[in-house]
Amino acid sequence: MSPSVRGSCRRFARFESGRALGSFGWRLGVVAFGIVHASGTRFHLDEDGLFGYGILVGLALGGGVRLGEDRRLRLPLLLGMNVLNPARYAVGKVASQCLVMMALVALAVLVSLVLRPVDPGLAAWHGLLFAGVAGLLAPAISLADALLDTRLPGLVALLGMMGGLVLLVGTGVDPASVTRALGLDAVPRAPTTLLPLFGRSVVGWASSFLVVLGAAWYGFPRPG
Amino acid sequence: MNGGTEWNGWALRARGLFVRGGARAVVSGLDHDFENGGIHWVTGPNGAGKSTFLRVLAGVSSPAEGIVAISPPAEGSPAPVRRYYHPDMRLPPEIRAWDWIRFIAPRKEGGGPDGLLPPHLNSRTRIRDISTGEEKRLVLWSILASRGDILVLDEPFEHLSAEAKGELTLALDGRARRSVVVVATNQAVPEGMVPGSLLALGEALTGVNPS
Repeated sequence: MSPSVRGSCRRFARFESGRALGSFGWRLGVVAFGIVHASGTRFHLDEDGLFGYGILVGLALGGGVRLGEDRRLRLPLLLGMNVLNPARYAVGKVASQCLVMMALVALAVLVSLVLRPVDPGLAAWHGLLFAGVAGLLAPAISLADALLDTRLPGLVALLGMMGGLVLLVGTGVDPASVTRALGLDAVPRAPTTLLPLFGRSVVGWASSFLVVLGAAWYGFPRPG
Repeated sequence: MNGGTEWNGWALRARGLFVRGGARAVVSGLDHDFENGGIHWVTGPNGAGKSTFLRVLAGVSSPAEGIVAISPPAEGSPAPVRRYYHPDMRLPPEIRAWDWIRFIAPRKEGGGPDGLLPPHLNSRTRIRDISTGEEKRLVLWSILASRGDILVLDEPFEHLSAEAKGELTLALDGRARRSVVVVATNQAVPEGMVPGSLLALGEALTGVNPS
């Protein structure tokens, strides 16, 4: 990758990250995580005070790539004709999606440490676990963002994924095998057991890139 | 006609151009050269098909018949850079104006025709807090901030203040010396300006001779 290509991807990723952190979805994601985890802690629900559920909802709400909004604003036309090509657009979008989701995980772990007297080692392990989970969610969020005109594509993606899991289990698939297939059968405090999840996470980020690239390829003008 | 300037840059050459806007022909069998040296104005009332015609010139859509070819200034010239403005282009409302400016031109304050930048922008001003005209100024500034051999601008003066219109006209006039600049407007061509050419759509525009 040439320095100018790298520079424009980095600039766009920085711009998109700033945009994401000011977006409705990100703010809603942070608030939703806070409410779920605070209630879980307050009422002693679940072993981890609903930390996992809270962060899942937060990631889904805050992890959008704003493809629908871009279409409404005619940004693909403005960017495609004057600033960026589809590949750089996709790199910048997915890099910012990754940064923003990791920031949410880090924030969630910090909030959790403040809310509950948790062992920092366990908190760090949870952080790594959900950093991996972000990669599983990312392509579904990007796909919903590419196909639907909604401000909360992550919510649609999360509901779709949960619906899919319920369907799978309903058809007789063993829930443990689904967990294993997703790489979610990691053992607390054993970081090496997270490796299968990280492998799937890398595939997830690559898929998210392909989804955004496909949307850009379709939506960007191609001057003839 | 070319404003009396000898052509020595990029050119857009339309040959036998037939552009359809819905069921009717916007231009039919048009032969025309758009060269550097002066702004080329495409005028006509609303609905005359200016936007459709400009989309074809910008390469965003294809003509029904004929071609729009790009002539380089010399053999071995780098690939032409086209720029296009459409009045519906908007910026994300939640971003800060300066984040957009830094994204477009990171190394210096501006990089484009800085007179076009809306005055009174500070580091906290968000796009949703500025007027439509100021947002259009930012979009136009970003299009003019970098190299462009062929600039096709659809209604760039819409929603602009008199001062901004003056800044834009100055900037485009400067760019027209080395680039092809085509502007569609339903407003009067600014006084005292020698156009590169003037095409009035909606007046049976056929068979215009090349300059």
